[in-house]
Amino acid sequence: MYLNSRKYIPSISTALIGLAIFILVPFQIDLSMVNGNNVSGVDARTLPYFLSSLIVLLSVVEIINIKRKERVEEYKKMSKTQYMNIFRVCLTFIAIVLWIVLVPYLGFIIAMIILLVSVMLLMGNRSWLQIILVPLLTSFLLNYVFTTFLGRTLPTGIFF
Amino acid sequence: MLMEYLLAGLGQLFTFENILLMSIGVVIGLFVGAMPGLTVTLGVALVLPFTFGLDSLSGIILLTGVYCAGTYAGAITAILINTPGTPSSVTTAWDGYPLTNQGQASGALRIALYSSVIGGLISGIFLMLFAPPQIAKIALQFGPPEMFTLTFLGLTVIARVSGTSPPIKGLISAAFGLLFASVGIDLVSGVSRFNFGMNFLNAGLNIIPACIGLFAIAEVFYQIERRRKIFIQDMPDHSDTPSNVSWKDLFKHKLLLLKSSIIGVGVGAIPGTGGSVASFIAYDEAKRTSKKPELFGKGSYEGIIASESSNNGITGGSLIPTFTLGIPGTSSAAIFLGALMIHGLTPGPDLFRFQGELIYTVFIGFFIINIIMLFLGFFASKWAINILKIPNSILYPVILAFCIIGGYAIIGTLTGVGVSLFFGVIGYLMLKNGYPPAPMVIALILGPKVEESLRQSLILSSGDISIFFTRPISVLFIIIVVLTTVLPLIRGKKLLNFFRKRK
Repeated sequence: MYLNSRKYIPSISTALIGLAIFILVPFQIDLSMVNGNNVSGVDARTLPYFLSSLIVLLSVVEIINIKRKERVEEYKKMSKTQYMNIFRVCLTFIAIVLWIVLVPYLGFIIAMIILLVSVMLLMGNRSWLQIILVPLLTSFLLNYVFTTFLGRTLPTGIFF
Repeated sequence: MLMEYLLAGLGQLFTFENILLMSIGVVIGLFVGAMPGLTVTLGVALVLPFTFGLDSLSGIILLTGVYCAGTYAGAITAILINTPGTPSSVTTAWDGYPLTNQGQASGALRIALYSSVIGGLISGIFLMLFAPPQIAKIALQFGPPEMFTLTFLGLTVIARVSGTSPPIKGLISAAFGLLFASVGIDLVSGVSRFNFGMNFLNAGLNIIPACIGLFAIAEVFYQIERRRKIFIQDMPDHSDTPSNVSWKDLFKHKLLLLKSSIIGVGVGAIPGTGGSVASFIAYDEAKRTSKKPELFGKGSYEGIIASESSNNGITGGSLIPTFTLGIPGTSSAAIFLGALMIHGLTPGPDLFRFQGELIYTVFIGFFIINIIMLFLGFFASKWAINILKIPNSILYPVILAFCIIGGYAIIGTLTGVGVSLFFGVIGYLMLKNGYPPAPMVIALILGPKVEESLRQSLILSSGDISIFFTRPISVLFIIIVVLTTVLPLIRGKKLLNFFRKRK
């Protein structure tokens, strides 16, 4: 049952997101401040209403299509390795979020070195020479190109 | 006027700095094109932030270099290891790899390079001669109804940029793209939409961080999940005889070369069709008209010529609607459009009226880039195999660093990185579940124009939709919408059958 229902998850998710957007429209688009008559019959809410309904409709059609093809495809249970790999993606996401949080304190170079070391380790790199050199070179080079050549300002922290 | 622009353009391009930038663009393009998993779109998106500190011309020619060379470079790995670097090089692999197995890799690589350069040059001629005067002049007569039907035409393309994904998933992706495009202050009523209490969202979602997320960060996440350490361990051992293929051999097939290049230009100029469609059509056509059709799939030079010249014919073709109408032909062209806007240029007829000299200089740059590609392509075919040995655990973290700095540099605040990450997660989930990201990007770009022109039209007609059916240009676009929706379905079915037979 679990394996059969898994293939519906993406379409059910898009349908639910569509529905959520439809419900959110009046809360997120406040028309009370708009003055005058709307002669065109189309306002700021029309397109979001139409699109969210369309997403729900198309997702339902997709669910029906999957149901039709049900016999052809067989879904295998995810292995422990696959779960671990998805877990690594989640950790990478967290590492980037932490980069956004920490960069005002640590500055671009240090925060980027920490991020790159983490991602390299998550991707299975165990060569210490590479783990030291690649983040250092990348961070300093990008910082130099953007600040010196391109005249952009990158975040600086407590240290530099 | 045209001659003045061309002469001024030549003077501007032949500076050390611009030649260097074009060469750098070509080298980066050769790198991303040759690496399976890295797409031309990703390359253009990652290089874009580096153009911020450059003037408009230098920035655009740098991106053009990446685009042209990246489109060609997929052929190198397609020929040498049967792994197309780009989807449009699939047909090149069909004949290129058998030639490698027969010890003719050098000849196949050389013919692919020559064909790509000729395809690119022919598309450059079309771009220069046909794009500006005719289409841009017509575009000057556009009012809101014409603009709506034109942008609607761009949106109908969406189902076709879905690649191998089902059209429904392409449409869902596009619908989400249009919703993302509606975030921010509504230009007609001034009402804020979907800002969730965050002020930075009132300015809307910037297209470039979105592209960086959808194409680059999503790919990084995907590769982390796949955990493949390296693309190839060792180069397959094939004896290779030195190539004696020359331009003469290529020009024996001059008609095929011309026909395939024009197919590339034509398909590229229709928004959303893409390089792989052009190479399939050109390959199919070459096989149909060949005197030796039995060689196709077993090592035919004609197959490579058709595939590569059409593939690079796309480059100039896809820029025609991008520059003249502001409608991107491919996802790479969509980023080009974003780049033009970042540099203060408005794609469309005004671009030729007010920035004529700049645009014609870019067109000349297009030719020079293809010539630079001819020289650098020789070296690339020798070292391309070595770059495939770069461990993924070095390559993708470095790409991630480029993504983050790109997201930051576009707005100059950390919100840009946040937007890139948000779209990175969406792109990753889409990639995992077979939803194509290209329709979302095109919808993000066209969304504001579609809505604005629709509402302006309906205000003009007091809500009467017949306004779209009573103006000649608008009616013409509606007819094209119907034709371009029905014909590809018929042609697509034929191509699908052809592709299935190949499998």
